[in-house]
This record gives sequence, structure tokens and C-alpha cells, in this order.
Amino acid sequence: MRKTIKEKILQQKKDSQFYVKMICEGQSSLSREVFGRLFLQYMCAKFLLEPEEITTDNFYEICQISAEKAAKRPHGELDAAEAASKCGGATTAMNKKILFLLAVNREYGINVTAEDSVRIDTFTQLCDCIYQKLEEKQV
Amino acid sequence: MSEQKRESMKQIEDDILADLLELEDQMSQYTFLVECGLELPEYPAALKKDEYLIHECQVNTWMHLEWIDDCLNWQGISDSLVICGALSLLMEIYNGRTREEIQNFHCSILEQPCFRVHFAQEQLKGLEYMVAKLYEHRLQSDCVHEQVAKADCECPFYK
Repeated sequence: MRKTIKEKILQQKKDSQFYVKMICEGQSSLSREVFGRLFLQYMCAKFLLEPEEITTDNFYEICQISAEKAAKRPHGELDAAEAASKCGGATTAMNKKILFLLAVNREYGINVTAEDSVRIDTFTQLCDCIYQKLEEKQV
Repeated sequence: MSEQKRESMKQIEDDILADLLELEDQMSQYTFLVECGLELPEYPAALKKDEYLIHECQVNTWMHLEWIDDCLNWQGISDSLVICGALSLLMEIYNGRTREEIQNFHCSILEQPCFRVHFAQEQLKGLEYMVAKLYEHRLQSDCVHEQVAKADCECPFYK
């Protein structure tokens, strides 16, 4: 089973890399709207989600949906259990959010700072931030 | 036909570490741990008692150890998905092993950066405590049946 899980994640990495390549290669000609659609696909590959499973623009909630899908738990339950336990670590959703932003920085060669990440509440804001940073990188 | 030789505990540990390294980035490794955690066998509700609760873990985590046909049967569960993942991998290494195999095995996965990086200090302490508890359990059993001294313990976390 461990090997199946690893293969699934390696495939997901390949899928997300496909979107990184599309975004980076078409960067100069991509409109904000097209970028948003491609970036959504990238995020879905990273979070092992289908676009139709993303039912909110709230970025933290998207991270929660990803964690809950894996855990097969009702919305909010996993976060509540982890938070109530006062675990030394953050919740799974919070860790996913942080690791996703680190991956974006590495894979797109940009720098979404800690200040940026605190400011970003929605997926739309995240797209705006990354689109802008990619434009700045080009200049 | 000869029986296929079972992998040693060390080989399984190395294989797990190789999987983590192959995944390379932290997000993929973290997802791997979480997904492995979902493969934990069901933990019996009857064993969710205070005596099996790991108080050294801040998150609710239970573990139950027993020997079946002289082989370890480690059951456990946690409210934290990533801790479940760690338990799942540790159980893959330890479950079904004899006292002798466990005594001769030096657990090093908790010391490896590709594993450690995914846990807060408090979480690592909890995991280390669980492994130490396992060795203690082995010793207690040995002390009753085989009179093995505690000094023989190979557990790197045993205090």
C-alpha cells in the first residue's frame, strides 16, 4: 500500500509540473484569467483534488477540504479535533497551506513572503499575488 | 519451492526512507505521511482508555502493545493525521517481529531529517516516547519470561 501511495504522489507531482511549465513558458502572454485557470489546475494536482471539489474561495478552507478528503472526515471535524488536542504541531490544513506556498516559491522561482501569506485569505488573492510576482520577475 | 525470505526491520526502514527521499519535496513527503496514516488498521474503541493514552503527546494518541505467538502486535491511533502516518510506518517496521529481532534493531527513522522535518519538537518527543515504551514493554515481557537485563536495551530513546 505504501508503494501505491508513493506512486500516486509521484504522478501528482508530474501533473503539477505540467502546469508549472505551461504557466512559466506562457508567462508573458497569459492573461490573469487564463493564469487563474491554470493555477487552479496546478493547486488541484498538489492537493489531490478535482476542480469541482473546490467549493469556496477561502484558501484555508481549500486546504481543509484537501485534508478532509484524504481523511474522509466531514467538513470542520478534522480541524476541530486537531486544534482541540493542542497538538505541538499545526493542523494538517495549516501545514498544507504553508507547504503549498513553499512549493510555489520553489517551483515558480518567486518569493511569496510570510507577510504575503498572512495577507492572503482567498484563492483569488493568492492568484493575484503570484501573477504579480511572476510579472515582476519578468521585468 | 523455498519460502521467500522476509525483509529485515532495517531493510523496511531503509525502504521507507528511500520512498521519502524519492518524493524529494516537503509537500509530497507530508502528503505521503498523511496518506500512510489513513492506512492504519482500525483501533478498537475498547482500547481508547486512559491507560493506553500517551500523555507525552499533546495530541490525543493511544497505543496498545501485545505479543501474539511471540510476535509484536502494536496498535495505535492519533487525532493528528501526520502522527497516524508516523505510527503507520513505525508499525510496518515493528509489527510481527520477535523480541530478538526488535532487540537487535536500532531504530533510526526518527533521527532522519526527511522524517523529522515534518514534526514539531513536541510531536517528535511523543513518537520517541512511543518507541521507548515499546522497548520497555519488550523488556518487561523479557524480564518475566527470560530475565533479560534492562542494560541490554537497544532502544536509542530509552532513558
